[in-house]
Amino acid sequence: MANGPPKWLIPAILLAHFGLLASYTFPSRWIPDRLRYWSITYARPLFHQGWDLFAPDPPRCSCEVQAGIGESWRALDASGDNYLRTRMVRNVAAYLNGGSPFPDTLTVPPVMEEALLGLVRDMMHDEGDLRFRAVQHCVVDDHRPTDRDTRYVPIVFVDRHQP
Amino acid sequence: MSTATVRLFQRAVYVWVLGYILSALPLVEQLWEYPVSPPLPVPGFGSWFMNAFGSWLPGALSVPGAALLILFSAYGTLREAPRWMAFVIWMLFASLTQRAWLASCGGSLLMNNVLLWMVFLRARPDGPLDRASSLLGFWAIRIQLIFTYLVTGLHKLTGTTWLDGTAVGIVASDPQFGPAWLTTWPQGIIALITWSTLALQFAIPIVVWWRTPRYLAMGCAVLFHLATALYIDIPQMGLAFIACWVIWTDGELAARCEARWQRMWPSSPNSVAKAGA
Repeated sequence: MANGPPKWLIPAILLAHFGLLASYTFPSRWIPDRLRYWSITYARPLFHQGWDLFAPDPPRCSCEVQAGIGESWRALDASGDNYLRTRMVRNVAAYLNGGSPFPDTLTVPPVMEEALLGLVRDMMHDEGDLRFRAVQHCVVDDHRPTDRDTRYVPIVFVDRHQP
Repeated sequence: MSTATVRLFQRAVYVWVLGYILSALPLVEQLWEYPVSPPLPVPGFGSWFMNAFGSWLPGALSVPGAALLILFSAYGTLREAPRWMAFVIWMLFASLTQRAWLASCGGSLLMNNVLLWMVFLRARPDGPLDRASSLLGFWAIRIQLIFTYLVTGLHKLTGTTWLDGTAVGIVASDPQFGPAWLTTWPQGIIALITWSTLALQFAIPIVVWWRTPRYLAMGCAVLFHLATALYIDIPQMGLAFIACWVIWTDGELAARCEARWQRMWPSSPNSVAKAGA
């Protein structure tokens, strides 16, 4: 090793690394299950990544999550907010799969419930029942994307006391 | 692998880290102190390094951790950070972005990977093993960057809107993205922009291997990322990609940029000169 590792070693490491990353990040239906499993074991802890922004298609619904007390509703972010606050609010909508039309009522998992409640800490002290809803503007025809249907979808939390 | 390229790249990445952390400071409470992002299980042994706060380090240390990250990345901008410091920078950055995972985007994922490989990367490697590890880091970062374009392009091929030319129109008409004025353009032009975006993402991994087309692709990519930073409201992602493109500059151009840097910051050591000079 006085002259360093053999010349083939670095290309071999790179080939193995990016081969496994390809199995981890390529469209899942292209990758055999077993290889996918090994790639997750390898990549998830240290090399996690995903490059499917606006892919396979951009979201056909624009989704805004709103919080309401009484009759008034407000978005979880306001114009002029720090861009990372906006990012958090949009990521919540994205994790709820807000890019596709929701069912008539959306039930969110506990982890997203915690995130939603964290985003409205300032409203927690207000009187009245705190509620959430999603406002979606969905494309009807891809060739006329400015014509969008508007939907108001109530958000409910999982009942953790139910057996 | 040129010393000037490596050093310029290190500066670009650490300037990005500095900018990112400084821009997050007004939101320190929601991001790190009492994070809005619920804690997630740690996936595997290695990722303990990337999930330090709230697991093996108290969550209360995340704010001092951010201060240390600012200090170390400022150092890394002016002088080459030693390996241990590069490791701490990666660990702090990854742990902070993980603690605020709801605020993350492709830019932070890219930087998590790049900062890890930067632990291996040296501007002036000393000895054969050091040179080999540096070469590994250098090529891993180079390939990682072009790999992202390939993967995103492949994902787009599995949908319909990127192929029929309507994707950019859908994004532009989304009130959360835009630009809305683009939707007033003829359908044919919007289709052309859609296909050009897709073509760029597939062209980049191919053309970077030749000098002139590489700089053309680099210019297009920079314009593309500036546009996404401006209109899609993810400035940290666009700027992260632009910072990483520096690794693909050749030694001659990087040396010219480094010389300009020396004129701007005369107190910082000349990275292009031999070690010890």
